[in-house]
Amino acid sequence: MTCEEYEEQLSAFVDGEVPLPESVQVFAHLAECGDCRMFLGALMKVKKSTSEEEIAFPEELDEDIFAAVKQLRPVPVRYNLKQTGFLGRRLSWSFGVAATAVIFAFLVGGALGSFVGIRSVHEVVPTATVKYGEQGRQPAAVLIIYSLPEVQSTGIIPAKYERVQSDTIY
Amino acid sequence: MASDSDLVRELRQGSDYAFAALYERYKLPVFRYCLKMLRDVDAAKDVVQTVFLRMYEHRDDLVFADRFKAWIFAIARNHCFTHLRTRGRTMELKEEVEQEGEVGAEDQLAQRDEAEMVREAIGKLGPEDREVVLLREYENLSYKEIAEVVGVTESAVKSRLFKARRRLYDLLKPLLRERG
Repeated sequence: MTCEEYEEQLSAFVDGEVPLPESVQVFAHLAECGDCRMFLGALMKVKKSTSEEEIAFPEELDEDIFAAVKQLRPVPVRYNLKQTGFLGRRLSWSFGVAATAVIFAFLVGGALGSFVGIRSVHEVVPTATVKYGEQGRQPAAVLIIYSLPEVQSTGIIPAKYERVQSDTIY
Repeated sequence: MASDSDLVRELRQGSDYAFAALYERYKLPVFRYCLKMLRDVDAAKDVVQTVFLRMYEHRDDLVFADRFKAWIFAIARNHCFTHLRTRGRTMELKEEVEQEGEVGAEDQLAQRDEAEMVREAIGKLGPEDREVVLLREYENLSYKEIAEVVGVTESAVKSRLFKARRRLYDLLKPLLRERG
């Protein structure tokens, strides 16, 4: 083997990459070659110098990197939050609309009902009073009759309803 | 202490803790490698940031959990070489002028600390020689890991390391002889 070949072995030797039988041969060469010993000495100096070198990490980079990661991070999370927000809004919107619709229906229905009811009372009561006006006053009976739908639409009291006394109803 | 493989698996499942742990473990080695490769603090910081953001962005693709160390240095290496290429000829010319000036200042160099001489000599190596020396001497990567980072065989790593060390020796020999 030439010195250059031994030097290549020495390069691997300082990295612990030479098997024992070959390293014995390298050691035998070192015993008789000053140039290769000098080469080995230089390799060891490089190892020592690099292992002792201290390099400080620029701490401001931590902040930059984590801030940048934060920007990347929300992609799936932001999507989830959007969904939640959207659902939340839709839910509250639906709830609000439903509540408004109920109140509106209640008010309109009430107004219509009152209007129809008053009209029905006025239409039904005189009819009933006239038709069944033996006693001349039927406020309780009128109220009961008013609550019956078929009476509201026809204004006629079906035969199945029995007349009762006012004080019994109240 | 959790292994790299465990942390990578956790990272793939979306663990921010795993990212922070891997970042703490590798931020200095990656920065040191980039700084030595680029010899420019701001450029090294840019590359380090790119490397870790890429790691986070592509965490789902980290399929080589047991070879994470080689993977992260390979990413850093690619970005360093891209940076060196884009830095272009202007910078190379500047470096040549600086090196010519340094030859004239050899006496000054001889008086410096031996460790500093070694570091300067490593800085004078070409990027391809320098990278194998850095990965071996500073980061203590095995030949197998260096082969994965650089994308060559283990025997090619052995050969490249020898050639790089031989050039380093040629740079250092006159100075070491003067010192006896």
